[in-house]
Amino acid sequence: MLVLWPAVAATPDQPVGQLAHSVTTPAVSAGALSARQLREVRVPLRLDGRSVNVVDLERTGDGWQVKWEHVPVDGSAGEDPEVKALVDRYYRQRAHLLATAGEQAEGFWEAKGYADAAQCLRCHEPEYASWQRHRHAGAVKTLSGRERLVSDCLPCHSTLYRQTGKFSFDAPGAGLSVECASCHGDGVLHSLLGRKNQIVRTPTEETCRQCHQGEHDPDFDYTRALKKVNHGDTGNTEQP
Amino acid sequence: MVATVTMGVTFAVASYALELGAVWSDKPEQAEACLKAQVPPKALIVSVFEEGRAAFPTQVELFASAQPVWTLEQLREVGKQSRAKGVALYGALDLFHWVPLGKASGDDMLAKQPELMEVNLQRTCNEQEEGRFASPWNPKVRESLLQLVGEVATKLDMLDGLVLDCRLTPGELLGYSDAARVEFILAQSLDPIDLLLDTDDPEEKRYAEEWYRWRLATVTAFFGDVVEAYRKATSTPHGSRAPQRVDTTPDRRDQALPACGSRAPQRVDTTPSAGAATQAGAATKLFSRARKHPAPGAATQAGAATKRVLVQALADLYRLTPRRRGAAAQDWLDWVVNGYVDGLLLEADWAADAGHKSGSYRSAADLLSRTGRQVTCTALVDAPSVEEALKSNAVASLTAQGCERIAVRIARPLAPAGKEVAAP
Repeated sequence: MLVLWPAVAATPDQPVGQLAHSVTTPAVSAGALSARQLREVRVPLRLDGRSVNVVDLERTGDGWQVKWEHVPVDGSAGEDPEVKALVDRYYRQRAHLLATAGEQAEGFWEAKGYADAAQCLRCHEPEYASWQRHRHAGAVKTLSGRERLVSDCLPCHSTLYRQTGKFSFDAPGAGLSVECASCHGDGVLHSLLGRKNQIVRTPTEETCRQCHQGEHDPDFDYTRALKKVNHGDTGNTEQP
Repeated sequence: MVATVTMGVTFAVASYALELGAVWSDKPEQAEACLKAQVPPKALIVSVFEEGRAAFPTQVELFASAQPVWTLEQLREVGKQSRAKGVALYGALDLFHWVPLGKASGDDMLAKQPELMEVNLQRTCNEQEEGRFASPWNPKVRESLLQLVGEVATKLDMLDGLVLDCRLTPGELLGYSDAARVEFILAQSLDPIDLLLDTDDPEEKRYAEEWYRWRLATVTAFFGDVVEAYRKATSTPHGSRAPQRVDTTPDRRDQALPACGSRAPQRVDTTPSAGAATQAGAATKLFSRARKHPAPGAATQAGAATKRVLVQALADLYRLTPRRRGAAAQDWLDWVVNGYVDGLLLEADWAADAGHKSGSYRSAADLLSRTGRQVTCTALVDAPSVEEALKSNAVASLTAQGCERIAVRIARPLAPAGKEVAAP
């Protein structure tokens, strides 16, 4: 059995018995003992980063017989892949917990007022891929190619501009063009709560005609357009 | 040197253009002092279940041994005085946070009954974070809390409503207790200890997110049960002083979690011990029942006066990652949308907001406004006294964010109104 304890505060002169009493719970154990059982076992150990405490526990009646050995590590012993995987997983997890402990994303609804396409991608991968193949996803590029990145044209070509009144070609998400929120509503509550009834599943003709009207799209046909923009084989066309 | 301590609430509040929505006091003498103030607040909150102990005499077995802070007579007297002053009286219940930070010991309630505690992957509860929490997935915890709420509804009829705190800590991922694991295995055929939470593998990430969503959904279901139990037991025609609000919006949430069909079922031992299976079965039934219920407000008869339910809510919750939201297992926005709550008591480090472009209060209020629900939104400020709260950076920050109503939770005993006490 291998037992690793978390680092404990210790000085070189500290009696091992005293050190053992400061140990509470092992960080990693490989074997059949539960953490609670191990907590009851007092084992002297040293943690100096250059040695391993090999602890052997044997059930004796009501208690445990403890044998331990302090083994200096010189690199010649090699690695046990199984144990390494276990330890790696543990440290990856600790690192991740540490990384997320102070992590606090600014609410996307505060910055943009709507759930951008990146938010939708988290759950709607096929729909996102389908949208990317559509001209809606390249609407900013269309304007940019014609040197028309101006406030007259941007409201229809950029959801970001329409919602925030600001546009910088270099801003994160600026290239997302006509995003999901243009047709499906701001999606803030839907994104946070995952409720199906808080999203517009099929946009109305009125919604489409906010942009597809007049000289910009004289031949716009709602029914035909809906089929065209339909998220393909994702089956996302049912009525709310 | 002496100083006169009075509760000159009106003038101080006026200078900040804030409404003192409530004062929260834990001790009878604080409550009395608050009610004796020349101009009392609109509401008084007293803790009736805190640190895993009922503050009043209770028959609920799990909580019966604690020494009550209040006698029923004292509470009735406070109820009488508050009624005379037109002050609404609320009872606060901190449902799962049974051992606060710094109070963990070998003798605390969860140390004595560790099977009730919610734990992390290392099978401990990191007391450095917030203390110890009871498990929302433990049937005994849930049943005892529901019984307690039923008792509060019937015994403490002087209350106009409840203030509920229902969450785990967002700072640490608890949810690896036997009870929690059994519940998730039964629901999704997955054991939380098998989930890889820090991987880039999309499939593994999906399972982890499934777990976070399940945590939110199950605690939401329990919260719904608590609210419904309280409202059903207290919903008598014209029996309450609380403002009437009938919510007829049905709960249309599709709470059924999608099945994780592709997960190899053989990874999980789905045959726990007989006792565990019985417990888990009962728990699943409990959750299922909650899912089928309409929103508690919908059950309220038209014309019947309802008692109000407020919830303590982490203002920053929806700015956190899905992982940390899942860790907190609090989904107050959902509770608002479901019609479970009549008001929010928002918590945050308000002083830390000062100078930020977008503050925690404004952020939460923005989300709340999107629900279209008419719920009150009050910022909770911790301070030694009402006066100190009103002078604090926290209140200055809240005012700058457009907050109009605060509740002050008094952290140390108040001197009785008008009495002279030695200055520190």
